[in-house]
Amino acid sequence: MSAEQAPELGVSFASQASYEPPVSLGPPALRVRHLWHRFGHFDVLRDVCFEVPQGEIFGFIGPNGAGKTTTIRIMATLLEPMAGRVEVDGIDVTVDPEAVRRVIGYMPDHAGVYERVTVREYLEFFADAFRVPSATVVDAVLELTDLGPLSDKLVATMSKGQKQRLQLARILLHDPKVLILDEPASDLDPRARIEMRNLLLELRSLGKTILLSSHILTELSDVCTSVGILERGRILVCGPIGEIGARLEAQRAAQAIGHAPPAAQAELVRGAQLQPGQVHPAQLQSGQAHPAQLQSGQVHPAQLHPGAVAGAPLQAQAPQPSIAVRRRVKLKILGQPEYVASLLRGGPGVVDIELSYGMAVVTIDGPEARIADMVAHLVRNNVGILGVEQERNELERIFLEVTRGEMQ
Amino acid sequence: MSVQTGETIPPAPASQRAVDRARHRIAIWRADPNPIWIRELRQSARLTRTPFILMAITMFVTLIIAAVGGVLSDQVASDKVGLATFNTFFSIAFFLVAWVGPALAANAIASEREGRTWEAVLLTGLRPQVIARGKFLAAFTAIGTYIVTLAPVGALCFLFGGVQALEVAIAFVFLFIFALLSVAFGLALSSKMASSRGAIVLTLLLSVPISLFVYGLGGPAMSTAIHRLWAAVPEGPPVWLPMAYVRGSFGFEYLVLLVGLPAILVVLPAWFFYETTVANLSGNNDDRSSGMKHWFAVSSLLLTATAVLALYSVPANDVDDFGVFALVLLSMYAAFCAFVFAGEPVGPSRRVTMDWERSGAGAIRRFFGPGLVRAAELQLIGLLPAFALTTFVAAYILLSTPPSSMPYYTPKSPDGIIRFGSYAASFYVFVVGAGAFLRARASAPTPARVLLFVTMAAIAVVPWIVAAIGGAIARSDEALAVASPSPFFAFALLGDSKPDVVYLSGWGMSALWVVLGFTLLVVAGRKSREIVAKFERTLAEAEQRLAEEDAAMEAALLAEAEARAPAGGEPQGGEGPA
Ligand SMILES: Nc1ncnc2c1ncn2[C@@H]1O[C@H](COP(=O)(O)OP(=O)(O)OP(=O)(O)O)[C@@H](O)[C@H]1O
Ligand SMILES: [Mg+2]
Repeated sequence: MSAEQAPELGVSFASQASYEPPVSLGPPALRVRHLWHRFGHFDVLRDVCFEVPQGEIFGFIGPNGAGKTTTIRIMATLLEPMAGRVEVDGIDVTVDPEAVRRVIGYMPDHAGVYERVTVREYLEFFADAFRVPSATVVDAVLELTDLGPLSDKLVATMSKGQKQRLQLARILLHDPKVLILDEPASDLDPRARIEMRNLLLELRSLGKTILLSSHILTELSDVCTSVGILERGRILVCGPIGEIGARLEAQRAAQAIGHAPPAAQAELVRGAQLQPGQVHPAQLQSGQAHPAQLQSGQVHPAQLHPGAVAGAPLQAQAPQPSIAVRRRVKLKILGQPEYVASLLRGGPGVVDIELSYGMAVVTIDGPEARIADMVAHLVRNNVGILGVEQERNELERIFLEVTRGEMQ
Repeated sequence: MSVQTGETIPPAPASQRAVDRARHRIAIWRADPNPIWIRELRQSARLTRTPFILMAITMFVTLIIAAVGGVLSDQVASDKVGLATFNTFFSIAFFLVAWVGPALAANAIASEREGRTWEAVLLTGLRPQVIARGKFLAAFTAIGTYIVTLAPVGALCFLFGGVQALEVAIAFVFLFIFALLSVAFGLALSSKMASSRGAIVLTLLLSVPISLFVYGLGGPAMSTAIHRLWAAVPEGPPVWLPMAYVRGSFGFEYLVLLVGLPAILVVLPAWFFYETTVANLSGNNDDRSSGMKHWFAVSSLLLTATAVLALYSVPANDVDDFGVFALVLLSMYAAFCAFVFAGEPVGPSRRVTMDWERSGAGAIRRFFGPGLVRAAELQLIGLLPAFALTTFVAAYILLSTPPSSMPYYTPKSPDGIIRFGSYAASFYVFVVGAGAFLRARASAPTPARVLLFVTMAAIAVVPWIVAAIGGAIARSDEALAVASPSPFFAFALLGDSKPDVVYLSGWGMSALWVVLGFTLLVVAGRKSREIVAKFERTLAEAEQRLAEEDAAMEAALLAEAEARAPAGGEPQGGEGPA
């Protein structure tokens, strides 16, 4: 954190900029603003706000019971929001659900399929129901989802994973702009998961926006361009994964050098929305100060801004000096880890070193080239290196860091 | 086009003649059949147990017919055997249709909910009407298959003689009509249910007693009445209707009894079931009211017309009794509709209002839209004239028939029926007002309906208990007046041999019900306007908040862009004094 880092910050911002989705024309694909929902006397969603720009793959993460399915069902027009506004492709779900239904493909988490029809008949029915103008669509979708060889199989005799793929095929029939998938990979074996992932990437390349909820974070981090983490009905963070990770790091660092007292810090990470007192939708509407607005003034721009919508405000915040890309590198080494530590300590960008048997985990700031420099430095000093591995899954870390593991 | 059948829609005809256009419609209909129906057909084609069930039923019915025929054939003449087997067969078929039809239909929607396939269908954008029709067609096709497989057995009856081929054919037509009604009934019930087992049990619980009641009343009882009218129709056997068509003498009665009445009795319930199904399949914020209100308007008109026509067609001697009978039927219908409309939403949802604005809906369309005050107004507009017309036509006939016009005619006073009609109409005003009031106060339709029912039941029964106790103590006829709040008190107002205080209390109570009813209606109106205003206020506030947020965000972006612009020009300039 010394002055010598300064010139490199620019570099890291350049790489940040490349994270940004292609600048989209028109409204965001999904826009959720101040969404509240309650079942009985229990607020399941409390002031959920986020935005998914066109062309993104957005991972919607949260512990069990966080309210993911509820949010998704509202976006899919199956539930009415109690307060707030939800727009899909610029259309308000409350006002014109029919139009919303035409632009979305929604795959529920535990839906059934008609059993006594063949795969082709199943898709033909939905093609008819969607008023798809041509019969070739069914063939195209069969091919896209690799169900071609199964097209004459009875749905009743298919495996769970195959049925899930069939459901995905179903929602592609009417060529929706936005795909909303609730745990699409929950019943898939590893190979099928990889296939699903590739399919999602292919769909994204076709210009579709995808929102998917999942519990399997490794999977999400491979495919998602941005994520939102929901806990107890509130969005904790949302935005591109790298950006969130960087912001968390920055904030941790700020805490370490005493920019902010730890307690307040924790509150800020968790978001302005995590107020102890609940705010009722009615109050929300009756013109009282809004929790997000209440605190957003106090939040240091470099810090997380959870109330913020994923799009514009995050981009607005991007050029903040404290955001840097930070990597954790696992080194498998021959010889004394302590020696390695003494070699690396104080090196350029090295923030932290953890040691264990035969292994050192180095946290390093700055561009990837620094890793190469570090390895070269070790080799020059006769340290045998068995492996260098960048810790890939940032998402898991973010998730554990932001959520408290509380159930609602 | 239909992807499922592979048909394409033919191009529109060049000529605009009605025949060509009709032909084109049919072609479209054939090329683009209901997708749900086609899918259900495909599904049921794979159900291997259907042929076995059909075979079992056919064999069972054949055995019974053969047994009846065999037992009777050496005791009575052949044509009697024919008549007996005919009645046996169609009675069995009637119950088969009345029980199996609703059960088949009940499964249709509930099973989709249970199998969690329902939402996928909803999200395709298929309109609830199309879904309802598809489900109806599917269940009707299934029950139709049953009837068709039974046809050869039914034809056996006519071999014995005693019935004509045409009568057997007409009986089959009616079997299909009963199937239509029972399927529609099952569908309406199941459209609300989430479990298919529950739906089947409920429909059976209802359809068994209803079919027994209809069979008893419409069968043997009616055949006696019809026999008096047309002696050629045999007295007693339940399946008289097909014979009446063939053997009845054509005339005014034939038209009313065999064309008008059956049409009304089939079309109105079927339409009601259809609208119920569609409303239950629609979302909470969709327009679930208009269809039902259209049905109400048309059925009220038709029933009024029927009542008036029937009054003119019965002998003057029976006009007073028949008038009361018609008013009672009208009241039952009115009470039923009051319960239906007690579930009306307070006002149109935002979605419905937006839709109206987009399509430029006129005042009439809005009047038939959701809203409990509108519903109450519609009920009063629709049925108060019906009560009035029936009462006054009956009174007019009683007054205007000269004593000498027919033998055995004793002139009757119209006072009784006027009192009866006025009381019924006044009480109806109260029921409508109370329904609107309770709905405006309740949070959901069901509590409103339950409360309305409890209130009405209490008002109907309690005064009689008090009157009975009072009568026992006072030992006087005048204690009857205590029962005047009960709607059944209207019957006490008939005749002219009661103490004056009874009649007076009747008039007083009528006036009170009208005043109370309109007061409740006004209160309900005020309350619902309040609710709507509050809703609109919160909505406007939320909108404003969102708009403010948008503006703030835009301003922030703009400010940032401005801050960045000079920075682009000279790298250090934008930083300002640090
Ligand atoms: N129909 C309902 N009635 C009452 N409560 C409900 C209903 N649906 C959901 N809930 C409650 O709302 C909360 C959020 O549920 P939701 O299904 O949205 O969670 P989720 O994030 O999808 O969880 P999971 O990861 O387990 O799928 C839970 O506490 C659940 O108990
Ligand atoms: Mg879920």
